Amino acid sequence: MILFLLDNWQQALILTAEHLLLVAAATAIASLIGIPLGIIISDRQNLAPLVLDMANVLITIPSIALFGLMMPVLAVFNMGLGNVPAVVALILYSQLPIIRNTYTGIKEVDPEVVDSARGLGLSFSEQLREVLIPLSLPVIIAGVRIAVVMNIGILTIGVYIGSDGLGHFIQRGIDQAHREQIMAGALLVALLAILVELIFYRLEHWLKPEGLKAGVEDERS
Amino acid sequence: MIEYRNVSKEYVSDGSRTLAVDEVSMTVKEGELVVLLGPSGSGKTTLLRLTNRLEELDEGSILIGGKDIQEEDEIELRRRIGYVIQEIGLFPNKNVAENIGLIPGVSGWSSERISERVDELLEMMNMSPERYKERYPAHLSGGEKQRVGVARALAADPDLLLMDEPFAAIDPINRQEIQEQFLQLQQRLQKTTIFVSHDIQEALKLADRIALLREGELVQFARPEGLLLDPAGDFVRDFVGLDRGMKVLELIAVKEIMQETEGEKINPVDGEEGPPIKRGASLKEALNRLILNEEERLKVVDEAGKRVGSINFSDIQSYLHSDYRAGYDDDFVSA
Repeated sequence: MILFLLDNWQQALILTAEHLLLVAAATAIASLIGIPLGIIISDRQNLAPLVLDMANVLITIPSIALFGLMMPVLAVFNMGLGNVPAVVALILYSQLPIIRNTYTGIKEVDPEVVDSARGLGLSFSEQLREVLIPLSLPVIIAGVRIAVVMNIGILTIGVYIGSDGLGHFIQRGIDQAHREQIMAGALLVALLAILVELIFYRLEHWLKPEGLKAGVEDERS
Repeated sequence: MIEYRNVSKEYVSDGSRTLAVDEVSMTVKEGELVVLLGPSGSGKTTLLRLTNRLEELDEGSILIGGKDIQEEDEIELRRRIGYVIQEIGLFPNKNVAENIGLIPGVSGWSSERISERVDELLEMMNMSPERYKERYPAHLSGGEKQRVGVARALAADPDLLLMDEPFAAIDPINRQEIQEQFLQLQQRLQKTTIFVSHDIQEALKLADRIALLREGELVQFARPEGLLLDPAGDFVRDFVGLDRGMKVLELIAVKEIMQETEGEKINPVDGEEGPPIKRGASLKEALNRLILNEEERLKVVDEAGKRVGSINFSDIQSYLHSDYRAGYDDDFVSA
């Protein structure tokens, strides 16, 4: 396996880069959709069950089935195969963790804090900017992290509808009964997921408001 | 001035309707501190929250400075009303200066003006700006948080201050102290304040007038002495407690009922043998002396020690019995 990677390091690098790029693009677009949706349903409670249920249904569809379902739809735009359907699928899968965490993060802000923010005369957008988003940012980022890590795994299957990425090692390995190559692909996907997870943990801590960090609490006692 | 005109608020839950506030009418005067007092479920917090439209009223109207609050933009309205709640609700992601400066900031003040205002308010709260400005709420004790909460509410110099059991979460010893400080501050600022409390002691200590509520209805709106000496019915009598006569004694200063010295009369009246009592002392203190030392009459002196009058047991007794009712014709007692 190591030998395989050493022999094919250039290709491994390219596939990893492709993989990361696709996941990053998909998650970025998913966040642009999911975070505002989560914010909206935190303000309009009556919409919350509907939106969360829909996101829940999406995530339960097996990826192969979702690719299959999307193919005829996207084929209308001549995009039934390749990276586009794969990215679209990742965007759909990402909605649940991102929407749910945004919604929960905002809902979990201390009601007393929200009450004084309202009572002092902050508009909803000012409440979001000054209080709600800063305080729920770590939870929102955790949602994005879950989506990214999940997407790194799911994208490997995207190779069956012609997407780029590390799935190629695995698919080709299976076709050629080349165990080394399968394991190399799996190893790289796993490493990538772990690495991204660690980076996001740092990010969550870094984005935590100064006043909430553990050190601040400890100093008092 | 705040006028409540037949204000009602109804809650509907599980199909059943509850009147949280039931046709309340009262007028709070400029600079006055009114305590909304009552047991839980009496509607006092709802009445407070109707005032800055955190709750919308169903019937009646509320006028602040002659303006109907329903006709005003709710954000604008809230910005000219200070608001303090029990758990304070300081923004944990912002330090003390940022908490206090937030409303001036969103109202478009310059940063120099905000910074000056923050310093001014912290000093007013007896908190050193250098020490506290940069601290986060997690760094503050309960009493400090409360003072920052009051400073934040006063930041944009509101016309009116609403306080919802602001001192209830503070331990009893510090509560006494913070009430005292608040009273001093209030005497200086003369800010029209509506203050929710369930604690009769707190109400008696702080209020210019007390609005006693029961199941959404205003039962009595009177000065603390009025509530104690002339309770409107059994509910008020029970609520203020069996020792209402004793409680009144704490509220009234000796100087208010003493027999004043005429001219430069220096010689003591008969029975005035013990040490003098200060004219600012409470009747409770005077009575305590009269009982404990079996003195007949106490000499009353001013801050400089000059004799200004005298007081005896029957002065106190007759005041409590009769003199009260004449003086307070502005008291409103509902049927």
